[in-house]
Amino acid sequence: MSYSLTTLWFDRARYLPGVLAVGFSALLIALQFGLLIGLFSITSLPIDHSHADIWVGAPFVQSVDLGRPVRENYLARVQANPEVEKCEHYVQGFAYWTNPNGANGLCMVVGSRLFPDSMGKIAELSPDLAEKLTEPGSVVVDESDMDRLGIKGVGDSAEVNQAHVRVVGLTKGIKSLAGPYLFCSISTSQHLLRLTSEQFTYALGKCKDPQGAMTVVNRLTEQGGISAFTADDFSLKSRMHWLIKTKAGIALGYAALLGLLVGAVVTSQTLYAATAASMKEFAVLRAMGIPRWRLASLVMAQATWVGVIGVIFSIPAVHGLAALAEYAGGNVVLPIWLQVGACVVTLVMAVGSGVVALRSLRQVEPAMLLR
Amino acid sequence: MGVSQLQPSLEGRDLRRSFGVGEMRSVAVAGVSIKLYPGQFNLMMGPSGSGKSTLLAMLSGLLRPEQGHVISLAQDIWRMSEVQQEAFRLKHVGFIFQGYNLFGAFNAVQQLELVGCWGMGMSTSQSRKKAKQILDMLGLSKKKHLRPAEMSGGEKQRVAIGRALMKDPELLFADEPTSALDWAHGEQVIELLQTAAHERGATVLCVAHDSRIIPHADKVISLEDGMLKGVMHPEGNQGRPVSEEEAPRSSVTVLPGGEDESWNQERLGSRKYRTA
Repeated sequence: MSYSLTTLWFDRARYLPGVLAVGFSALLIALQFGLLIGLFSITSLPIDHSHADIWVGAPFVQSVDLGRPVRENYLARVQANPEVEKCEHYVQGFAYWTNPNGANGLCMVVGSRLFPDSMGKIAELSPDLAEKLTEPGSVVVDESDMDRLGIKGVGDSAEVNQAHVRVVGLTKGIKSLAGPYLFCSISTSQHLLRLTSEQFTYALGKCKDPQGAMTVVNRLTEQGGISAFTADDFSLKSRMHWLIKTKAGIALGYAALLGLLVGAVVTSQTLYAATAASMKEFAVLRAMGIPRWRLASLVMAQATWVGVIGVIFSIPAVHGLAALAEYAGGNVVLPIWLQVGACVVTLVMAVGSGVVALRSLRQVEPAMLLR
Repeated sequence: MGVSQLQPSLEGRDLRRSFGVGEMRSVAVAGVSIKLYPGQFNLMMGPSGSGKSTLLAMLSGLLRPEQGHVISLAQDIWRMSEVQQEAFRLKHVGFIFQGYNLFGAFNAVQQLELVGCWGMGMSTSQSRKKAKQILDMLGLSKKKHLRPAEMSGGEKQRVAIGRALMKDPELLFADEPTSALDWAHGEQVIELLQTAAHERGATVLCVAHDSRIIPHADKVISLEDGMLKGVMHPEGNQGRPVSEEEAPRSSVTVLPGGEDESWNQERLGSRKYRTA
């Protein structure tokens, strides 16, 4: 076993605070940002759970839930591109929900074609639910939103923008942010959002080859007077808009940074104290001419191992706590880039703490052994 | 005792060092000159505050003198740069201290192996092999895999000696190596230092308070109030041939204002010493 690992294992009680601090930092970063990504991935849910390659809307659209009414010519402009195989209408917008008890709240109306090959219909709308939505004024909501909507279940009625609606089905796992999602047909959504039959919110396009989506988007953007995005870009744009607009990202990022700072302080102090405790031993080696960089390499190796072990401990903890959050109704998304990023940032922090701890080596003077 | 024209392996010339400033300034070493030869076990003695440790520090390259020169293996070490001094110590110098100063996490083999790997550029396997040989020589064959907490004081000091011997140093400095030990263990340590001098040809300089070490020494250097009081060769201790400078007609160098026979008898007990 290497000298640094031997020392870490022998003095594990001494190094434990540093290891825990590193693990805690990694955990905090991953979970904070995982919560953030999970939170704002809700806003792009209609994009992520549907099948369109291209989304085209009114100019300067910032997020999928902030679309404005557009007309039939948008569909024609999308269809005019040779890469596009088919197009369809899509409606989305905020509305007011009034529950059976008269309480009001925001909701998000999402209207799409209901055929099995529809691009705008989310995957969670089963053929059975889609069939039920053909009834005018029918909506499907998520079971997690029943309390917010003030309903008991399927069959309950309410009002949306003073228009009567009936709940005909429930989905599972469709979380919402500002207001519960109400899935319905195009015609029902136009009625609820007070749009004419010629008006809709987005034109959706499906390409013969998904690689062609970017070409179509670039061409449509060059033509001007329009907002055009690939599905992935629009999903990211929607999430980033709410992340920045609400400053939630800044708040959680700040909290994660504080966690990193605390981790750095605890880890550097742990390493400093451990190095200081071996001052005389290091002084003997210096007296015998062992170069200072050799001693520094031991301290840095210890710092690196503290980082690696802390990160290893954090991985199951992150996944365990994320599962707990999901069980409690939260939404934690942990993409691989986030996990790797959290590990790398924390490892860099641990190594940086080692550099800070090196200042104790400057106090190693062999002559002190002879005083 | 035969006489030869050996050159000193370690020479201090008019070494001076003080500490503090202004009214708090105190002189630790006041113009001491000394010559040590290869293959000798030299003992430096004196009351507390006599400047022994300061002189040892200057001679070993750990503390810069305010005045004077230290010629070590024909090189003036205090004219070297810090990097050169470090390289010199790495190549030629071993140290043993009162407090053992062994890494608590490492077993006896690792304590020595570290010096081989980090100081001598050996591979781990080479260093480990040499470490085991030295520990066998020190009578620690069965203690190789013990950590300091599992060893007695004598065993720990022997490991510290082994660490110092890993580099086969020409110069070996020991500061109070037996102070923390009972005499049975302490005598073992002193015998090891003697062996390092007589059989390996090292120049050993040992600072100690214990007069029981005197019979083991080839030369006893006495300091008092930062000045050299005397240099004596215990009778019956063959030691190594010394230069004509030190060859007795008299084995006590009487310095101006130096000592007399009564001092010798008082300090050195019943052991006979040749005096002026």
